[in-house]
Amino acid sequence: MRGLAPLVHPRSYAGPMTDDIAFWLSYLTNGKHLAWYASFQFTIFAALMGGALAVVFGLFGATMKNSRFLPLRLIGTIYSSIVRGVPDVLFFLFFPLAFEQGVEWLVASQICTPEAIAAQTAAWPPCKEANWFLGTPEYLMLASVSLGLVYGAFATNVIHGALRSVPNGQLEAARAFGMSPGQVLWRIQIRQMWVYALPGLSNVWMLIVKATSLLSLLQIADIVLWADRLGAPNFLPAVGLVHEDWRWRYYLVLFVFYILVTWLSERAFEAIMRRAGKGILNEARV
Amino acid sequence: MVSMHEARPARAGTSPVVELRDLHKSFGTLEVLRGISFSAREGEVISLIGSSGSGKSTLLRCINMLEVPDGGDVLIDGEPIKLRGKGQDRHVADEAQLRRIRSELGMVFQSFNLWAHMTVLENVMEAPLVVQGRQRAEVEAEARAMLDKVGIGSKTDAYPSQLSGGQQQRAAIARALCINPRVMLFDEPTSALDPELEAEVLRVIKVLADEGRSMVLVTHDMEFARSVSDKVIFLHQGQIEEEGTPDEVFGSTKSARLKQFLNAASHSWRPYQTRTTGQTCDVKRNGDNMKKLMLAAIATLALGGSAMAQETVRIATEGAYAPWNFLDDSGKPAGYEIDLAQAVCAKAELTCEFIVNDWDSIIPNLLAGNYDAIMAGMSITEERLQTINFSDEYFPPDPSRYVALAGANINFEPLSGARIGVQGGTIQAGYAEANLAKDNTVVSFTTADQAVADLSAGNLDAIFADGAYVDPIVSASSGAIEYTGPEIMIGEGMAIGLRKDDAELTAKLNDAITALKADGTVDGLIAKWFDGRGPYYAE
Repeated sequence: MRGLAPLVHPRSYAGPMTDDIAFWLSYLTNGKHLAWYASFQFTIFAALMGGALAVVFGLFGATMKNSRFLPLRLIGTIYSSIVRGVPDVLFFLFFPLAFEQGVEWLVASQICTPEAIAAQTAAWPPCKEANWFLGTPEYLMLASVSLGLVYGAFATNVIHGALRSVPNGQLEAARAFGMSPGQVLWRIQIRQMWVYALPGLSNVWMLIVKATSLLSLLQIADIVLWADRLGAPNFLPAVGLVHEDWRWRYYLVLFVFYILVTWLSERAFEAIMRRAGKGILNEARV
Repeated sequence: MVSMHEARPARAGTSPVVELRDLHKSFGTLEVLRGISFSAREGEVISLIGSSGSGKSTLLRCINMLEVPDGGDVLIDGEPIKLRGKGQDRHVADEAQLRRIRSELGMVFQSFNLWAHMTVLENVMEAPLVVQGRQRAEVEAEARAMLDKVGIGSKTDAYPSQLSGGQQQRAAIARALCINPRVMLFDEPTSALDPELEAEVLRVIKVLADEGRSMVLVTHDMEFARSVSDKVIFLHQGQIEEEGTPDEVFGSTKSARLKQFLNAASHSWRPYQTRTTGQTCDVKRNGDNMKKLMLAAIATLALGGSAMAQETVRIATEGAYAPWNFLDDSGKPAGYEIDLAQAVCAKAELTCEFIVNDWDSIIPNLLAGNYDAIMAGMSITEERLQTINFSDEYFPPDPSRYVALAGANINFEPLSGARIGVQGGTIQAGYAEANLAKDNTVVSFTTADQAVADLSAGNLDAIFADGAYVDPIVSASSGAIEYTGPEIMIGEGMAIGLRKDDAELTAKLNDAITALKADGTVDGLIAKWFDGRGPYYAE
C-alpha cells in the first residue's frame, strides 16, 4: 500500500459502504500514518530505557547517600536534591546539547588543524571535521539518559528510604556470618528493599512515561509530533480538502495510548510486587 | 541438680576457643563493660547471666565484633582480632581477617534475624555458599541434615514469615550449625518466644550442648543455665561478679548481689516451702518450671488421677496477680481467689491445698496432674475450652484496658508503632497477637507485674491488661500511670480451670459456687477486694 498515491476521493468508487472502508483503509495506511505508528517505538524505547537508567542511577545514588564516606554521601545528596528541583523540560534541552557540544569540543581539541579552523565559516564547531551529526538514534539515547538522570534523582530518594527499611537485625546477621559490606548490600539489603521501593518507583515510572511526550523537543519525530502533523487540516491540490482540523481526534488516540500504558504498568507492578514480596509481605501462615 | 557436663573431658593443652582479655566498652558516657576477662575451652558451655543492663549481650557481641570494644583483646583459637585506634574510635584493622573469623562463629540472635526473602533452606545454605565458598550439593545435603536435626526438616521451602517463633529460632540455629562453627554464640535465644515455643528451642540447644559443642550463651533462664553450663558467669554493672560451675554459683552463692539477682530473676527454680497457719490450706511452691515439665509430662500424666479419691483438692494460683491472687508479706497466697477458694472448699466439704505455679505453665501442670484446679484470674475462652474445663464463673466479664505513663499521648486511630506489654498466654496477649502485632511490637511478659515494671521503666508505650488488675495500679500511682485508649471486652468472665475428665469435682465446685452466689458471699468478696464493685450475682 505504501506506494499508492496519497489520497483518492471516496466518490470515485462504486458502493458507499465499500467506498468508506476503502477510504479509511488507504487513509490510515498511507506513508505518514505508517511513520506515525512506527514512532511509537521511540516513545516506548525512551520510557523503558529511561526507566532502567533511572533505577540504575537511583541505586548508585542511594548507595552513595548511605555511604560512610562523606564525599560519596555528599555526591548522592547533592544529586538527589539538586536534580529533582530542575524542571525536566529544561534538563531535556540542556543535557543533550551540552553533551553534544562537549564531545565536539573534545574532538576539536584533538583533530582540528589551524587550516581547518581558518576554513570554518560557522561559529561552531571549530572545524568541520569535529562536527558530530546527531540522528534519531543518537537523540533517543541522549533523551533516555536525560530521563534516567532526572528521574534517577527521584529514584535515589525512594531507594534510599527503602534500603533503610530493611530490618537492621538481618543485616547484622549477615555481617555476623562473615559477609562483606558488598555482599550484605547486594544479597540482603537490595534483594529486600524492592518491596518498600516499588510503590515509590511506580510513581517515578509514571512520571517517566509522561515525560516521553517531550521527545519532539529533541527533533525526534515522535507520536506527539506526528499526531500534530497528521491532525492539521489536510489539503491536497489534486483532491481538495481531505479533512479539516482533526487534531483532537489524534490527541484522543494518544490519550488512549497513555491510559493503556498506565493500566499495563499497574498490572506489571502488581506482578513484580508479588514476586519481590515473597516471604516479606504478610502471607497466610502455613 | 547436677550438671550433666562436668564429666566431659576438655581438650587440655590447646589454646582456648574464645578468650577475652580485659574488655572495656562504653556507649557515650555509659560504661557497659569494665574490664572483663574469661576464656572458653573446646567443648565448654559458658552461660552469661545478669540483670538487664549488666552488659551480658554487649559482651557476647564483642566476641564477633558486632560491638568493637574500646579496650582489651578478643582471641579466637589463640588468634587476636586485629583492632586499631583508641577508645570509642577503635575499629577493626583487618576486615578480611574479621570476615574469616566470623565465618567460624555461629551466632543465634534473640529476634532470629532470618533473611526474610529466602526460604528456610536458602537461609541455612547462604553463608556456607557465599562466605565459605563450598560446593552447593554438599552444602544442601548438610543443610537438610541440620534442619532435620532441629526438627523442621519438613519446612525447608517455607519462608521465615510462615513459621512460628520457635520454628524460626530453630532454623536460625540450623543456619549457625551449617557453617561448622568453632563456637556457637547465643544471644538470649528464647527471650522473644512464648513458653511453649521456648521449650522446643531449649531442647535443641541442650542437644547441642550434650554433643560437646563450644558455646557461649546469654540467658535469663536460670534453670536452663544451670542444666547446660560447664561454667556460669554472673555479670553485674559490667564486671564479673561471680563465676564458677553451676553448682558453685547457684548452690553456695557468695555475693549479696548474685543472691538478690537470683531471688528477683527466678522464683521458679528456688526451692520454696511454707506452710500456712490456716486450718485447711497448705501452701506449696511448685518447684518445676515449664521445660522440665515438658520432659516429665508423659511420665506424670499416667499418675494424675481424680482429685476425689484423695479428698484433698490441690488448687494452683499464680501469686502475682493482685487483687485476685498475690503473695503477702510472709509469702502466703492471699487475695480474692484465695478467700473465695476457702469459702468454696468449706461449702463443698473439701480440703484445699494451694500451689503457687508460674502462669505460663499453669495449664500444662494441671493436665499433668500436678494439681486439680486453677484459680488464677483465668478467663473462660474458646481456646482454653479445647484443653480444659471451666466451672461456673466467679468473676464477671470485665473490659480490658490500656494504661500508659501520664502524658504519653498515644494515638489509637490506628494504634501503630507502639511497644505494648502483655502477660504471655493471657486473653489480652491473644488479642494483641491477633490485632496489634502487625503494626506494633507486642512484648510478652511472664507476669503482669513485670509488664508494669517495664512500663514504669519507660521501656513500653502501654500495657494491655484486665481492667480490674490495672485499677488499683492506676489509683496507687497517684497520676503517674493513667488509662488510655478504648476499653475492649474480651473473654467471658473468670472461672476455675479443671481437667476435662474431672466431672465429679466440677459438679461439686459448681454447686458450691451457685450456693455462694445466692447467699451473697461472692458479691461480698468482690466488693472487699475490688474496691466496692458489684453486686453482680445478687438475686
